[in-house]
Amino acid sequence: MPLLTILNRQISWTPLLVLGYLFYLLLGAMVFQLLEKQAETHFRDQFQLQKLKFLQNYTCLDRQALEQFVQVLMEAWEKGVNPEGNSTNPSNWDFSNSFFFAGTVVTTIGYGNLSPSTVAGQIFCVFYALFGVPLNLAFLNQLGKGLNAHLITLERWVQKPGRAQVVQTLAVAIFLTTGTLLFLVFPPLVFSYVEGWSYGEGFYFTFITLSTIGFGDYVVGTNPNKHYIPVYRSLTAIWIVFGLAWLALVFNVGANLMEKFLQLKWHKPDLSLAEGDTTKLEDEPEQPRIHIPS
Amino acid sequence: MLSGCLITRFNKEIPTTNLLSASVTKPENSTGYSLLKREATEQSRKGFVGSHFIVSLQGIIQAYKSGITLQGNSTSLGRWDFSGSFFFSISAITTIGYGNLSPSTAAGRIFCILFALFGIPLNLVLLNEIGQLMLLGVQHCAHRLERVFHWQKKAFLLIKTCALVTGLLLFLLLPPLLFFDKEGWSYEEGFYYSFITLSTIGFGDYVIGMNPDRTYPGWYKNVISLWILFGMAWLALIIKFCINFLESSSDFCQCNKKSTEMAEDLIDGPTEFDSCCHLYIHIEPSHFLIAVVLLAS
Repeated sequence: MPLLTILNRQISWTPLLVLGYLFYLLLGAMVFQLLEKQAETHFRDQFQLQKLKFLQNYTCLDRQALEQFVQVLMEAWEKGVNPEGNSTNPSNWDFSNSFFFAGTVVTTIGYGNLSPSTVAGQIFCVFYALFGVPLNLAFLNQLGKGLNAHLITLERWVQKPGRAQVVQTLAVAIFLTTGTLLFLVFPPLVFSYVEGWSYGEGFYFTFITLSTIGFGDYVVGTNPNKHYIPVYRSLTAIWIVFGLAWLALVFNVGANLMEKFLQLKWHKPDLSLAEGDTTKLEDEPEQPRIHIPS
Repeated sequence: MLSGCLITRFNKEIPTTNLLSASVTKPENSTGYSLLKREATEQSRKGFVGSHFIVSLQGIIQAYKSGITLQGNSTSLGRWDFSGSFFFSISAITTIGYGNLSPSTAAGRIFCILFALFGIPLNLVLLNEIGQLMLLGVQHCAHRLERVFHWQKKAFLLIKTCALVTGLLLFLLLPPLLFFDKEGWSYEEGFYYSFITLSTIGFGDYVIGMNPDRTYPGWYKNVISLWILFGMAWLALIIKFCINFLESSSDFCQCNKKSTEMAEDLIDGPTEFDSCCHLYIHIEPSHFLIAVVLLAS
């Protein structure tokens, strides 16, 4: 039965994949523990030291009072209010910053330094994401298709077959370089200048944002000691959207190229099985293919 | 509280080793604590007075940003021992990224970038696999039903709705009850947390297993990890179908349709993909990178 054979072919893949995934997670856990635990202990000690020094200098406070105050600060931070100084920065929920927040929801970055605290806000957030995330994905998908079409027309436009390859490779190379500069190399400079981070921290922020992980340990526009132009966060949201679009296109084009490369190398003997899906086989190289017998 | 504004009370209040042992499990930190205390007294004797308040404030914020729980205790998921690091790895490669823990050393950050660079595609491949298996399971059931009961299109629709409802119950509607019991969140908060996690937004305002006042059973973390994995695969499938629906209703291809029933059933129901164009669904790479080539030619 064709159904069973396909099931069989899939099933042999999966346990290996699951094991590989588990192994990868265990590897990550061990390495992170190794790298971070010492620093954490050191930082914890430092913090305890600071608390002790503080208590020794303000003797009218006892430890319980300090812990209560720490609790107050934590709650403020969780609500997105930065307890440092008297913040003259605009509210976290004015239009420009709410636009930024909506952007982080729809792209699933989700920093978390700001999150809806009212029940109504949370419910709305769920439904907003429910429609916004597919919309975002469809938008990026459409962009990907558009660029692919352009590349193909470019290929057809150049008459000589040898030239076509060169032109295409050139176009892809230009696209990649400009994109890398514009979205990965240049923005950390801007961020480190405006926010006072080092370049490494700016790059870390850029990567965590564009991969949509979004830890929230670094977020633009949250330092109360700095004065930002009012649309700073909105501009960042626009950068994020275009950066993600660019990444989508890169993956798309990369998959296409990988496809062509593999087709050149591989004259698949099992092509007879997959009779239907020869032309324009656009697929992610990492994804397993389901060859459907026609 | 204010009645004890005396150094003596302050000195009496701190027991020798018990205070820190709640937060740090290693016994050698008890000696560390007394060292700290000694250092603190010395430094205060040297006269560091004025900026202590601000320094403490910044220190508190810094500590919070680094994910160190400011109060005495922290749970095993809230610090960098094995459970915490494992949970952090999951949150990184699924791109949830809670942020309750995040690397503070430069080496940790560099490794995090590399780890995510290879881990995210791996995760997407796995999610794709799980999603496909789920789909095939549903198709299989539909076939069985068709053969046994000799229904035609009705069986498929029924099975699909069944699968959708089961998925909804299992991944979005029942877990909040578990969270209500184990975490003490309200149902709405549990639902909000479930959705925000499964969609990989992952704000981090709610994170499981972070409350030091609660005891969590041994199976809790593992069950939640499995739930995250399968729930994400299921949600990705749902979103993929939504996008498919949008796409098929917008670009309608009139090419000759030569799809076999088997092919149709394997990919999806016969109703949705009657366009014979190469329907390339490439969902945005950073999280749901499920590219399914649908060919019906």
